[in-house]
Amino acid sequence: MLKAIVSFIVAVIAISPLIVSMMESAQLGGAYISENTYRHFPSDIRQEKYSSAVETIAFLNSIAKPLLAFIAFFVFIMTAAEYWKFYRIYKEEERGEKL
Amino acid sequence: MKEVKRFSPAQRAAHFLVSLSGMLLIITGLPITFSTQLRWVMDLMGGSGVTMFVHRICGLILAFSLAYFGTYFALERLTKGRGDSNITLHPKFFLQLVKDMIQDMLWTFGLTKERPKSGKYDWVMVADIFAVPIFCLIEVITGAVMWFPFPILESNPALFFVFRTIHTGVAIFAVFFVLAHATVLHFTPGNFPINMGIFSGLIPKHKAKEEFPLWNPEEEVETNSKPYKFHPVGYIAGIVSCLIMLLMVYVTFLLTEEGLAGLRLLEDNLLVAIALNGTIALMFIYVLMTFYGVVKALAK
Repeated sequence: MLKAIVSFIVAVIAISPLIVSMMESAQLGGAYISENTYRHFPSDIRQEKYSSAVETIAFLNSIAKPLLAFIAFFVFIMTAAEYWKFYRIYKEEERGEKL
Repeated sequence: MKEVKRFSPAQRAAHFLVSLSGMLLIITGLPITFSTQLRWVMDLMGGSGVTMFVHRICGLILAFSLAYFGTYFALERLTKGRGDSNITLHPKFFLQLVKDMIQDMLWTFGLTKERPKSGKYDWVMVADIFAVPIFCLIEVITGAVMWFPFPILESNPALFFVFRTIHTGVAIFAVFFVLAHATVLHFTPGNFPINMGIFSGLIPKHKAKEEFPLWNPEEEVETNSKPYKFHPVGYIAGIVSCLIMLLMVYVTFLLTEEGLAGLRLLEDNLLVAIALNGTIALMFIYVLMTFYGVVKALAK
């Protein structure tokens, strides 16, 4: 019981920033889009920041694209192999029961 | 029939909350990245506003579950010890898992006579147990930052798009994880149409002995469960599920860069439509199966 209470308190503390923000600025607070439109940045600095983000995303994409395709293919192959494995296990169990 | 206790009520509750919120996050999240093919999901749920609201509430449930059960299981381990679990954080344990994986695959294809002898959790389950919290944590953090970009992104608003790219990439991987997990544990011979272990907490004793020979269950019970018989329809379910996975692999090959938008699917064809709509259909089926499993276990 004590574990459940401690865990509950930790979980409430962990998500409290989200709930407070939700009440203040999200749908429940009536202002879904923040008033901060980044206009406080001069346009040249804003451009610089967005250019650096484009570079970072291009770099991320160059890693993510082949990685995703490889992992996806690997997971598919492993799933097919696991299906075959379970088929073999089931057949062995069946044979064991018959014996 | 003699059954053994495999999962505690806390483990079952954790699986229920994380899987349900995770699948609903996929159902409501995929239409954002693949809006051309999955627009109908948003329309069905009442528009993009409702869909996104559901997405965020599910994110909140996932974040709560992660914090609650993460703390609970850590405290349980500290106070009760390992129990009948074979999981440790020792490097030797992880090395053994790699060896088990290789031997398991060799046995699967008839290249060795003996299957690896595993404890309560085999190498696939350990990979699942470690992967899920890591993925959830990445998704919760990146999702929270995108939901409330202030004050974290105050100094560099462009970082929003970096977080979105990471969020999308990990989400696509999570789709494969769910498809693989559900196909292997529910649609395979020995489990189809539903593996009740994670819902009732019990598995047949003979199955435990066969699949996890080194595991010494702490509790044994006598139940009125009937002996299992595999229905051949399970092969069709397995093939369909694997085919949709294969088509989703094709979708990942088609993803292309589109500046700040990150990875996007610019090509549209019939196979892509089948892959994405099939994935959503499977997620709906898994959600229904989750409720069915819980209700059946409670009724028992």
